Amino acid sequence: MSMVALASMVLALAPFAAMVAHALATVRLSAAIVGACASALLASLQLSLITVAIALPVGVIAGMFIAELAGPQAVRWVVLGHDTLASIPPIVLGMFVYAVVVLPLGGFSLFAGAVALALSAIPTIALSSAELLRLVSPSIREATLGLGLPRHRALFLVLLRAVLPGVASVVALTFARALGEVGALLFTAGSSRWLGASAPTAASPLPLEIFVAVQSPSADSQGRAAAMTLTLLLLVSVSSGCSRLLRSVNR
Amino acid sequence: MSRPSHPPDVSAARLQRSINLPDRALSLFGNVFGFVAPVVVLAIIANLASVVIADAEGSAFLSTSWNPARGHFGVLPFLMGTVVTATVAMAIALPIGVLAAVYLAEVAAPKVARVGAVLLELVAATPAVVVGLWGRSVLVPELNDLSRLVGSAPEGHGFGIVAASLVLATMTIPTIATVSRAILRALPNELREGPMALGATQWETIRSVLLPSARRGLLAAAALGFGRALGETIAVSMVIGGRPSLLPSWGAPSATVSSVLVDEVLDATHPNHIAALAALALVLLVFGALTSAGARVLSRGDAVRA
Amino acid sequence: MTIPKLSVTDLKAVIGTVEALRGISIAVAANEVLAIIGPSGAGKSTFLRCLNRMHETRPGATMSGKVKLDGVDIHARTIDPVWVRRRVGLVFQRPNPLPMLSIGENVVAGLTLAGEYIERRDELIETMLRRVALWNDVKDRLGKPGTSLSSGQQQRLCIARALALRPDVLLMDEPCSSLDPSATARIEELLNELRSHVTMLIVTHNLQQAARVADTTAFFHEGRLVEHDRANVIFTNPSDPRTEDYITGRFG
Repeated sequence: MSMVALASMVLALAPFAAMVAHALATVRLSAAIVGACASALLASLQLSLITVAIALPVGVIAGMFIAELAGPQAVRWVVLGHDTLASIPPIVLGMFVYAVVVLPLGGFSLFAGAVALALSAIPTIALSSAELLRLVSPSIREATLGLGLPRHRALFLVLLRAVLPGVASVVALTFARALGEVGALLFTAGSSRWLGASAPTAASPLPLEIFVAVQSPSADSQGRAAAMTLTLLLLVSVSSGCSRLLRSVNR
Repeated sequence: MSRPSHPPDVSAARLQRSINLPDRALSLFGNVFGFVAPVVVLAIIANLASVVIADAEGSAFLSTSWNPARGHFGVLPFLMGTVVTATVAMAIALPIGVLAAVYLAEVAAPKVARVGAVLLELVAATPAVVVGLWGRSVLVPELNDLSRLVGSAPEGHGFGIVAASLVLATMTIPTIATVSRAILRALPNELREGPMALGATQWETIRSVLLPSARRGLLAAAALGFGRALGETIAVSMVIGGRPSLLPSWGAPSATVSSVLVDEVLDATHPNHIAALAALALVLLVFGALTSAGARVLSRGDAVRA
Repeated sequence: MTIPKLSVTDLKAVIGTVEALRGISIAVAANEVLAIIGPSGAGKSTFLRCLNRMHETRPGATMSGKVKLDGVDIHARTIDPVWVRRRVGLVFQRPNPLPMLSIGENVVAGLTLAGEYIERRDELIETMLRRVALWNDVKDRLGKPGTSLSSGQQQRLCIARALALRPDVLLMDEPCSSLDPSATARIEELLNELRSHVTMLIVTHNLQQAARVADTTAFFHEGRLVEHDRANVIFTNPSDPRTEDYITGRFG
């Protein structure tokens, strides 16, 4: 039976190894492809940064609200709202952002994509922050009250500082997940090639480029997709690794 | 200094109404940002529902044929596609995922288990598009060759239910394994030591004591995995072939709720078409919310909420 | 007749469904040291927390009655609770230095975290640490985290931190109950020196400590103030039989 369990473990990991192997086997590193990877990488980093810039303040303050500021009735509805938002598939979020951001603003944009990704990330950040704040020792809270600190100072200068590594870990996780997401981008950040329409305005993020490249069977496209895949995997691993590191600092 | 004695009744609410301006600003931002999530959820539901209600032709959606060119908007084929692929995927992923978790939690040496857990987390973080790429470039041709070997010439050339189920299983196994491992590790050691003292082998213990004790948590893990399988969009759309069929067969291309959204949302112009797609998006939303709520309810049974 | 530093009139406090205080009236003069004694659950800690408006931060807590600091009603609508807590400091039962700050930073935390600029910061730190007899122990390691000290030292650090805000009144809720005897003795020493700077109210279970340190003593029982008199009177010749029972150890 132990062999079966071991085999299961191998089965769980094998496809990933196969993916990497396939990418390594088909990758092409022509100048054009490397250039495309670089601009896609840049677009990915930009997109993820904007996403964090939106999701971090909203998420952390929402977390503070849940943990410290809201009454018990409000907390129930707010937490339910966050849990539900977290369960909505990114493509549906993308459709919503298409309706409320892309159409009014008149076009696809990295910003619209970031909004969709941020909607996905806010629940994670908010619920994690709330949990972390809840775990802060009550003696620290009492100390801040006893010193006569107003609430906003107690929260930002003391409590938040106490949970900073944990929050940073969640942010790194958000960054990692934003790097690989496509569904939320299909109707928001869009790609001119995906639309089949006019000239590209800016490069698309890595995962979107991969999605598009897969449509054409030419060896060059495959090579391009492989190169982007390897770049993406490296990026995601590094971010996830950072998140893990920060989580252990929190101990 | 006598004043009419009606002393103030001071409660916790008083503290909220702070004279302090920055505190009030914090309270304002807290409320606004806190309610972003529930408000957005309601807005999405309202948005989709309004589109559906405005243009829907009711029972026409429940027909079995989807052909936008001819004005047929029956959504049942997609529901079938989603349910079948997700179910098959779970049938594969659940046993493998749980067994992998058992391996890491009970069988493997501590060092091996730690490395394995890290690898599993890495695999779980693999973007869906990368899995889809592998599915499209490797799995689909392999399936095509495989079925040629068996003698049939699949209409889908490898695309279809089988590829989609395998791809979903690949993505679901790490999730189930990670959650199940956490649950197993949380079980108290007495559950292992007791049977051992009575002479049971490790696998007897696992089968008759540990797994039953972890049942609720494992069900929660399954709910989570199933939810993910139902909602997975990108990887599935890359390998399923995009041709809706009410009775998905192994060899033919097919379509799911999520894949049709990828394929048709940007091009849909006819109001009924849009309404049908909006209805499908609503279905995805409900699937996600229900499975996620189910997983929460199941796991809450184990933990004690203070 | 001068206005008492602290004057409490018919203070009632409720937590959830429990009546913690049932009408306390008491006055404390400036620079007086009042010891508050009584069995567990008598409402002593709740009483302290009403004096610096921390009581209202507990969920389900309400109160009525008047508390006046220098004649000013601290619960008046125009009074910011934050201001009250700067004028009335509180030292807790278990020392709670802020772990993310160093020893030196902890001393002035009340000011820096409030965003106030401190002239001659190092001087202030030294003065406060000397006042609590901690300076010689820590002068070489002011940069180390506040939690790196022994609990007795941590408690003195917390007292220094409270004093740095120059409060009028210092409330101490069983300040020595989590400390060993020698640390307790050192804190009692400094209580005697502090009286020239602040008015002090000390809740304590240690009757000998109360007798040693206090000018006046109040005996609380089941939410009521049973007896309030000069310390030596309470401990040698109490009027109320309940006081006598408690002091002689018949209950509590």
